[in-house]
Amino acid sequence: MSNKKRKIRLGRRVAEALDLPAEAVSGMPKLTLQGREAMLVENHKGLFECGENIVRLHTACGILRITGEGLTLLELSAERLYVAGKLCGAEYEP
Amino acid sequence: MLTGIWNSVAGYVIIEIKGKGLERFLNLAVHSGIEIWRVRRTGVATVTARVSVEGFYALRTLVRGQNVHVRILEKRGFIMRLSRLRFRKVLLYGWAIVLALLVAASRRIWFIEVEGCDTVREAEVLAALDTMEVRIGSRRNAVPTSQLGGELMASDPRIAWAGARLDGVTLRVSLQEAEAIPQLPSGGQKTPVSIYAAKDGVITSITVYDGKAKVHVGDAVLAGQELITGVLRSDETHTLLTQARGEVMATVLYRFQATVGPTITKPVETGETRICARIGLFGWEFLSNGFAAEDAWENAREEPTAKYALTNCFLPFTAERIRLYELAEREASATQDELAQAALRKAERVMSETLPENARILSKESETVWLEDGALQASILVTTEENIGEIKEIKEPHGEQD
Repeated sequence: MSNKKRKIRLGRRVAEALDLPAEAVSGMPKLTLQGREAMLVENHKGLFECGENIVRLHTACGILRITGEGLTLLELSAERLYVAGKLCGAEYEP
Repeated sequence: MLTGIWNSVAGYVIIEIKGKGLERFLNLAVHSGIEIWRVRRTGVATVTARVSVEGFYALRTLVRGQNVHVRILEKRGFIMRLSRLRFRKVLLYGWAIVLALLVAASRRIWFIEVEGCDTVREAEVLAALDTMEVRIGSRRNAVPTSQLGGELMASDPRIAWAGARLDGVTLRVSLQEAEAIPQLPSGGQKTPVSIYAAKDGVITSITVYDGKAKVHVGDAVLAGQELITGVLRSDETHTLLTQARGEVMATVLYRFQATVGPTITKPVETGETRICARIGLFGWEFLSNGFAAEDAWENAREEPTAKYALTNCFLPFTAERIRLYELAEREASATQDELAQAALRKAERVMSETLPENARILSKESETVWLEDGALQASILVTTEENIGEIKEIKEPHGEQD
């Protein structure tokens, strides 16, 4: 087991024990979908690809792929990313 | 939302970032604390984004060695618009002058509103204020609002209370007028008097300034009955008399009757007719041939025979062809409605001549009755509330005055 995964599991256990939100302790991404028009990604690790139909992000769980049409990054900061457009899907790349 | 408002005030720039490592450059920028928003891919190696002015200067230092090129597409925001105006000195001076004029104008009084005027006319109050150097255009800080009320009260005995306050550039003056105290008869200032009922009625309120009330609210009184007496004390040895003063309000019932018919004088067509045209423009109407100016045709009955209107045009224009029927006042038989209206008008005329000015009408009912000769009698029943007090000298002396 890699050091990174061990860290995530430890963080998750601590969060469960202390009844804290998991994303606050383990650094796992938190995705909030607003209808089909926008998605807020918190705890991302950086932008990997930014296109009109695809946005790929580094996260603690791997690369997150958001697909859609006319995608725009309404907000881009070190921890938050707010994508707007006509969203089609979000999935982790294998 | 607040961030958006702040950015549109403080200003921001729309930039185009061109190069190979766009995502890497964006990550570097956001980790350096530069706020970037509305990032959109516009080409294979191009994105557009928005950054604050400070963010743009910080980006320029990051560009070195990143193999990207950043350029400004557009500058937006209030500050940016202002900065464009910095070379238009006349405009800036104009705004400065307007601002200075506004500030200067806001230090003076431009409106004076007087409320509570009834017997005291507004023009009299304004004239009184004018003598106190308070007028439109006076400086606001030169107006002693705390003293104005007292000075107004001193200037006119009809003003019981006055107050003034400044509301922006408006000076609001509020008045409370003094109630008129009943005047004594001209017989002499020291003649003892009482107040008697001038009419039959039912007392609704009684206010005694001097003397002693002899009736109470709800009492039915007859004309001539003593309401407020000037006899304060009367026994075998001493009688104390005074000049009774007060206000006695009572409900009074009136009945007004008028009879008309069976014929009445009314406008009747004489058989004379004339054709004329009427032209209307901007709301003004003109009759052709000046028929309306002739007395005989002034109240003629009109019957339009043709009409043309041009209202969609920017000049609202109408033209009418009218037949005028001459009318003359003659004795003629009348319909039931005409007789009723004439009888009621006559009764109303009698009523308006009879009712005192200070009477407040509480209720009014009317009815019409046919008489045997074909005439019609109209009756109006009016209930009013009015001051029925009448000052008279005391009728029966109660001995010698102390």
